[in-house]
Amino acid sequence: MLVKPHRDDAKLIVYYLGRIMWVVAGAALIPIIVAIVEGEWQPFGWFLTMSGTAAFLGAATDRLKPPQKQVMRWGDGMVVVALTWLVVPLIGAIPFFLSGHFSDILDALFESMSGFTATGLSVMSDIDHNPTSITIWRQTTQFLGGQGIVLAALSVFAGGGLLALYHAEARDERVFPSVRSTARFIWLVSLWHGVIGVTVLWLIGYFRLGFEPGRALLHAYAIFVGAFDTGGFSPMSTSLAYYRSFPYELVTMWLMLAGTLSFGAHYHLWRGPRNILRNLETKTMAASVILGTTILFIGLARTDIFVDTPSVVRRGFLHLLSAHTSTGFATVTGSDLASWGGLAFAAIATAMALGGMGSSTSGGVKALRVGLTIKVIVNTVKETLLPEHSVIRPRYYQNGNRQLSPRLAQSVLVVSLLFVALYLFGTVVGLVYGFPLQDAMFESVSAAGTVGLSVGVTNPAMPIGLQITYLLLMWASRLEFIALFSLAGFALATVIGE
Amino acid sequence: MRTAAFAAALLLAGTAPATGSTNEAAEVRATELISDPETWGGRAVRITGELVGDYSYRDDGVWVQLNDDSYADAAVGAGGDPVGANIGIGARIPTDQFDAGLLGGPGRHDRRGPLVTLTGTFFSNDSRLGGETYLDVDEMAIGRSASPVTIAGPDGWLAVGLGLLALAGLMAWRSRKRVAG
Repeated sequence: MLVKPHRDDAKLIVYYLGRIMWVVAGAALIPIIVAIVEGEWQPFGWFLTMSGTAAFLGAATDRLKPPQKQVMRWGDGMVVVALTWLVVPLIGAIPFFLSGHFSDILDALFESMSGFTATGLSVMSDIDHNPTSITIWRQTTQFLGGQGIVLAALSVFAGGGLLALYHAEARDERVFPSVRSTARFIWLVSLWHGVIGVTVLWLIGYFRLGFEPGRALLHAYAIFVGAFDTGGFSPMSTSLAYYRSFPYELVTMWLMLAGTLSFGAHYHLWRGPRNILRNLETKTMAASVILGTTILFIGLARTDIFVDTPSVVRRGFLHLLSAHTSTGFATVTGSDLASWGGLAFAAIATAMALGGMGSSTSGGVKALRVGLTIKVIVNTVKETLLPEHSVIRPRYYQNGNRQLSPRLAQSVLVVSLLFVALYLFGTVVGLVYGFPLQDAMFESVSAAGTVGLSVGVTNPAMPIGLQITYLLLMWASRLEFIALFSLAGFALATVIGE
Repeated sequence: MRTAAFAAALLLAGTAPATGSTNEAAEVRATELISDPETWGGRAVRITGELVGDYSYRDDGVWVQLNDDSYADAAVGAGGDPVGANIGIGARIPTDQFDAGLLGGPGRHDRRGPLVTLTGTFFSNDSRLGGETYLDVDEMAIGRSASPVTIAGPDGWLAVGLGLLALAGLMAWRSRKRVAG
């Protein structure tokens, strides 16, 4: 029997949703300042409208503040996060829609959802003539989403029961005992990489690529955010190919790798890399990248697309890494990528499906789940081969020796299977709309793995049904299902609960 | 009217003097080069469009992005309709052929970029440059120099935004006052 949620639960959910709205209202300051500096007065009004809408919603829910003793329950936290990832992209879409670069509100919402979920699929028209403030906002959605909107709120507002919110945003690792200090550490790591990354990219942009200083800074910020938050939006329509610079690509690859590391791994790296190298997650990720790269190189070598090894290595490894870290930067066009075909194409698609590390900004199944799934399969095979009464106690190393309990194994398999189901669902919808199997599968995995590489299916003229499907895939994948189920359960209980 | 002016500019750009192999250069669109690089790779081509983004001054020439989409005529910010993604190609122009003063700045939201016709050899996945795909320019003809786009001033959304912020501020202040009371 479903129990109808108490009115206080609903009030609590709306109240915390309102808190998060204040963060969105504040985040609008970034493009607002840029609009003022650049003298972009129309966008200035659009961003004020977005900020005002978020602030109004925040203020309207202020009066729902719960009493001190009321602590947020786990399920309520999940519902807050699931709703956050719907409402925030909706508000973030306001300036996109008003900019005129989208034919309808759905396109603007798609772009916003793609940004906040750090996916990077784009349906924006005429990116190359974007106002600077719109470019900055487009990149900032990835920064907010990659860091975690809720995490941003946790850094600003302290309070009871916030652990539920933290976990609901698909983060299951705390570096420090308190969530708030963990949130601060995450911001510190991001800031460190941001300062170094933006500086190095700016230096390359200014001195080597000959950009104007201000433009070099815009590109540096945009590419840092796109890479470190594994989003993949770029200020120009040709993505990373625009720069035609190997040093720029190298720095971007470092940032993509840093972005896909879990924040726990960052902490251990700072203390010394020995432990992290023993972790199952690290080993799985390393093995997967090496295997994927090898297959990709063999695949590309069998075609006559690139005639020399340096080109194969430069183009191939960047795209493999871009796919594996679920970033989505590309230095070749979608049609070029599709022409890679066979092994190379399969390697990229598989890398997108597997994704990066847990508790990071990347999407996909994630390395730890992949490693544990392989362990479960190996143990199952062992059980069938060993004598009947043999006892196997599967263990793994992840920041210490741990036992692979049946409950954990089940949970890992369920989430992994749900990801596969998501990939298949998107593929089937693509097929229904008449796209070839290869293209439909690639684009579906890209959307559901929050990657952003495209073979051209995603574009401003794509079918509405497919667009809504990809939009939902991005949302579901970012929440890693649990928060989604909680929201569905909450809605169902509200309607039919007793 | 704008389309007519664009066509005239294209015509003007297309009449640039051509010498040597550029005489046989085929008139192409960027989509043809992108969708069929095998056919066009290594061939002399001529393409007309707007230079956008940045001029990248390097040791081996000036690298530019040339777009020949509909936004070259009317960008979204200048009243054009959102009809899809940008379409263009990267190009390397010899430094001695590149006169930024004559061209004006590259196209951006507040500036219509120069309209040029580039003639040169198209390279697809060029192994000499780590697999780059680009147009190696021999000749450049300017059809139209860059010009500023008239950007509209603040519109009604500014008032809406300010109104919402003021309302939110008032509500938050009243809420704090009530809690304090």
